[in-house]
Amino acid sequence: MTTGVAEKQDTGSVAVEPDHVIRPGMKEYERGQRLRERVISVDPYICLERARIVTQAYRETEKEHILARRAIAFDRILKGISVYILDDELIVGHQAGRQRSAPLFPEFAVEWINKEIDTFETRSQDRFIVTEDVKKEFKEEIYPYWRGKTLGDRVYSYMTEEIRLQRFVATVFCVGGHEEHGLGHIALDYEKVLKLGLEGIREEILDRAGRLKIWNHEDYNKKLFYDSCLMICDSVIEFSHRYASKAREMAEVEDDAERKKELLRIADNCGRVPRYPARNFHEALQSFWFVQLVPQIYDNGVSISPGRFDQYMYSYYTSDIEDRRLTKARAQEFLEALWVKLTEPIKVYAAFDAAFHAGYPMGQNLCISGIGPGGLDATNDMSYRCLEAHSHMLLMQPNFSARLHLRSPHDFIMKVCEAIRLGNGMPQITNDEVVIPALTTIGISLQEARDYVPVGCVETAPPNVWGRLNGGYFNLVKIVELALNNGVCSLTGEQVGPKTGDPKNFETFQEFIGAFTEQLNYGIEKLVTWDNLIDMAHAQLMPTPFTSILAGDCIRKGKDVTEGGARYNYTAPYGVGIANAGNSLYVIKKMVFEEKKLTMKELIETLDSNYEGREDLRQLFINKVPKYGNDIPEIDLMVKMVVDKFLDSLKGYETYRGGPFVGSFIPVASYVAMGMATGATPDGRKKKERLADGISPTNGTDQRGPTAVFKSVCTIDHRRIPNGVIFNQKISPGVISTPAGMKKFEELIRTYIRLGGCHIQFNIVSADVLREAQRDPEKSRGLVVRVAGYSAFFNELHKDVQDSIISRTEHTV
Amino acid sequence: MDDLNTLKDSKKDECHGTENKFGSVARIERFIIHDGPGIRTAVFLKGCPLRCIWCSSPQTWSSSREIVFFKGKCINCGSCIDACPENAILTLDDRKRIDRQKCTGCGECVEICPSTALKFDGFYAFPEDVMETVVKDEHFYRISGGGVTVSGGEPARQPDFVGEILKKCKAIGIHTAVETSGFAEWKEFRKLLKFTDLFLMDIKHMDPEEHLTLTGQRNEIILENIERTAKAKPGSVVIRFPVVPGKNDSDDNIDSLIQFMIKADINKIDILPFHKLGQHEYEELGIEYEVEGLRVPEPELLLKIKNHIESRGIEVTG
Ligand code: SF4
Ligand code: SF4
Repeated sequence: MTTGVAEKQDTGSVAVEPDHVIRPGMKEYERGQRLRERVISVDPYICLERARIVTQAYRETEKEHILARRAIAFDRILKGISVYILDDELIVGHQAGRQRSAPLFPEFAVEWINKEIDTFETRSQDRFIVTEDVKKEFKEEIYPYWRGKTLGDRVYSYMTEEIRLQRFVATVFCVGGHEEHGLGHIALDYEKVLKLGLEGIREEILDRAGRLKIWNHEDYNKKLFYDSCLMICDSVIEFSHRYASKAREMAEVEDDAERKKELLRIADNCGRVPRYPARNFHEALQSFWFVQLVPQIYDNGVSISPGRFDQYMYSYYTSDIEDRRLTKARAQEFLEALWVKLTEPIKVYAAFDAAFHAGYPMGQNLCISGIGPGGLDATNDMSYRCLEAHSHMLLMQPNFSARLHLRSPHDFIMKVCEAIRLGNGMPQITNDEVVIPALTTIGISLQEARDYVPVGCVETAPPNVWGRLNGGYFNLVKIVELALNNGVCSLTGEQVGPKTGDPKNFETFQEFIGAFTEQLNYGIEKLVTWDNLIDMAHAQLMPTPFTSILAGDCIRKGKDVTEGGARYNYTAPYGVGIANAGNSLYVIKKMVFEEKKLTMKELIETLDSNYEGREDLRQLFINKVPKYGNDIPEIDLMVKMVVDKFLDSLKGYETYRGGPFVGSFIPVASYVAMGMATGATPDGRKKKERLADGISPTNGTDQRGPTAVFKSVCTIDHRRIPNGVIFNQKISPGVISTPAGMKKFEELIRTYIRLGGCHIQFNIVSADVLREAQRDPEKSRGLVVRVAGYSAFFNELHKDVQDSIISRTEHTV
Repeated sequence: MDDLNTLKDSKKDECHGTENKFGSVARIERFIIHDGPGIRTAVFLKGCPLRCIWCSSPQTWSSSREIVFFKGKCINCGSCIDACPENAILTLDDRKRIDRQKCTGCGECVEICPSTALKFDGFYAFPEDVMETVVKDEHFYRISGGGVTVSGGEPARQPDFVGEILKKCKAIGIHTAVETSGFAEWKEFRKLLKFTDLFLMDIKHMDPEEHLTLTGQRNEIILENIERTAKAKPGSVVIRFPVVPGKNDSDDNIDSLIQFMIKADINKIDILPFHKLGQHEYEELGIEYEVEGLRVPEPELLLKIKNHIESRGIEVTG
């Protein structure tokens, strides 16, 4: 495998420069700002090019094997979609027919598009402009062909009644759109393309294919797989050549001598990469961008993550600088031009799913620093250059992460703090001291574990994994509700879970926990089943050879990732609402069983009535029973118990591709939508109110400052959670307005690393600024905030999500 | 009303020999980052001998705990009225009034109030109780060089209690600071000396008469304590100077402040602008807020004072 951090001594080194190398007024700086200005001012459109081409290709290939069919469609799309280069661009390649417009993927599902296409422009979350022509063509040409033939149709044909009740009636769980969208969620092996080029990968495939005995049906299947991989390599090479021709054409008619030179350079780059190995930094960036872009054009999965960018780009950068082919300022200009490209890809979701993924998150997680495979700190000058690019761009993508550990350089953490202070919530921080040992507990080698990257939001994944890193959202608060109601969903009145007994007859809290556990185990079995059926449908209809050539052992095994070609094949469901679930259980324990302030019957009636006329009880539950997030061991341990039970419930199952189920706590924006599906709960939460996000305390219930929250959060054993957690912390700008305050902020973060927290991200924007932005969205265009494991433009979020961000506890002094 | 002595009596059995080390605490706050180095926990005590006209925390005046009422939290359930054995609680235009003559501080109302609209403004504690909270942030102190700051009311009013807390902190290597008005007899004040790393000492005015008008006490004893502390532990004192426009910002006053510091060999000062953020505390306690006439200092004034002091070689922070 070529994935891995090159040792520093092999790659030369360039002096580390923590401070910025370009400034306002420099031409290297101004280009990035012009690119940024353009990308934040475009309105998202729906683009039909891809849908039109894929439909035509499928019409013509009905007899083909699915691998060939996918490869042919892939080829047609890359040959057919618009190719264009915008002013000032230095890195080229677009996802669809206009900048920041979303392609459609009809082979995955069409019913929701057909139902909702007329409301894309007016709905409350993630709006898109759709022209009348597009609507007409979709309804008349595209939709009729795909009805009943899509991935979604296949997935739903596998559904059982029990799954329907849990998934669609009660929303005990849902699966992040994987029923009707691609899977995505992977850090591709970018380094392999940079080093070998697709040509080198072709040779590897040809070598394997040449050794097959195709009279054997297994080998024949491998041949089909290899054939599709080869076709795909060729298609991508041709796609890059289309850009080369485009650039050359434009250069011919360009009057500005400077731009003409740039266009010719772009033409040279695209003529060479990704086909051949990159020879310099600019080629490496262009090669990277094609690899990053292509799956987003084709696979319909999000969270294609650049990963350890500062590591695999470093040698290209240093050799250019050392040979004086490039100045640091110019390198920074290239980098910032790429940063803007990462904000362009976009995706349209159904309104229901948009509520879970508010703000078009693409989850392209780019990560810097951290421990290298040899166990030493791997921070380099490229890490600082990425921080600089982030600080100048302040866009919502890439989703930007820094890996920290106990030996991270002080200078580096201070620069991370300065970047965080700019307010858009990035970089988020993951803790190597926790993630690396956690990954080794699921059988990943220490060396690979040290090379982990956050994928998507924060799904901490080693190389060589096809992880279904988003294995669906599981609503733990709903489980409390079902245990209280003998398996009946309180919003719909339907029996969705097993009959675990009428709690009015329970004599001990232990009995109640028994019912909770049984509801949990039942729901988890349904989720696991559903996940595996979805995986099966993807393997049957949506093999993804491009991802496969850059993931794990697929070429060696001759198997697509969806069939288990990667080295590691786990699936990771997310527990949602641990704070509400733990707090609710604790209220039941204290108020009903210990202090006997009310009977179980009264409690259930109060909840059924949504606390109508019982504000006194609600206040009692909120104020007089300790809450998670205040460093009070009794309640923190209750939350830890919920976490442990969730993790335990996943034991013993196997994924479709042959790996374990691994728990994690990454809600994305599902805590709002999951809350909508949950009745009133004993923690004082009213019906349909949002849940707490990630492992953070419920908004407003943490009253002892950030150190207490950190201690509570670290009661949970993060080493049991290899796929990661999300922990949001809001810090008032006043705390870090002075150098002394910044130093204390750095110390706060370092202590969190020491305490064993897996992840943390900060929102620094003051509540006042956000309220102002809510009142006057136009003025705040470009204001980026942290939503969950990702950031989004504030004015593109639904009001509920905006409110939730505003009310996250603001820690002041 | 429950006073400190009756409580001491009632708890005596539990604390053989430490009866003098029983204290009255207003609150303990974590993640304090302005009162001393690093990340700190501040222990605010109750009981203060001064009555500064600009005081922002009247809750710390009295050393006995009192009932406070938070209007915004009250849901008007009426439970407190039913629960009070003395009929001391009345409803007056939408808010609860506590008849402080009748109230015995029994706490029934606090116990029953579901929304914590009624609360005590402090609690009685042994040093061990305080330490239980203090050590919770031990990791943060160790990494940041932070620790504990004991603050007003007035720590020197409870010297045995505070001394014991400080001693326990030093025993486990936690940095200690005391924020004090300096208004105490030296024989009490010196009990704080041994285990304190940093003294944050207020000078509100240099002139004894003016000081009397502003705080209700003269300042000779304060200035003397500052000098003695600086001498006993060189380098451990930082002066804190609250700037109240029109009251203590005259050039004369600042000149004599500088001379005093030079003479006492103290070279650090924090300048604290007067603010009105404590106004709500008066309301919660049912006390008139009489400082409407005072002005918050302009940034220009603060800068002018800062430059003036710095020009004499004294380090200014805050
Ligand atoms: S403490 Fe409350 S209940 Fe007790 S006397 Fe005073 S007002 Fe009444
Ligand atoms: S018990 Fe509390 S909430 Fe109820 S009326 Fe009294 S102060 Fe208000």
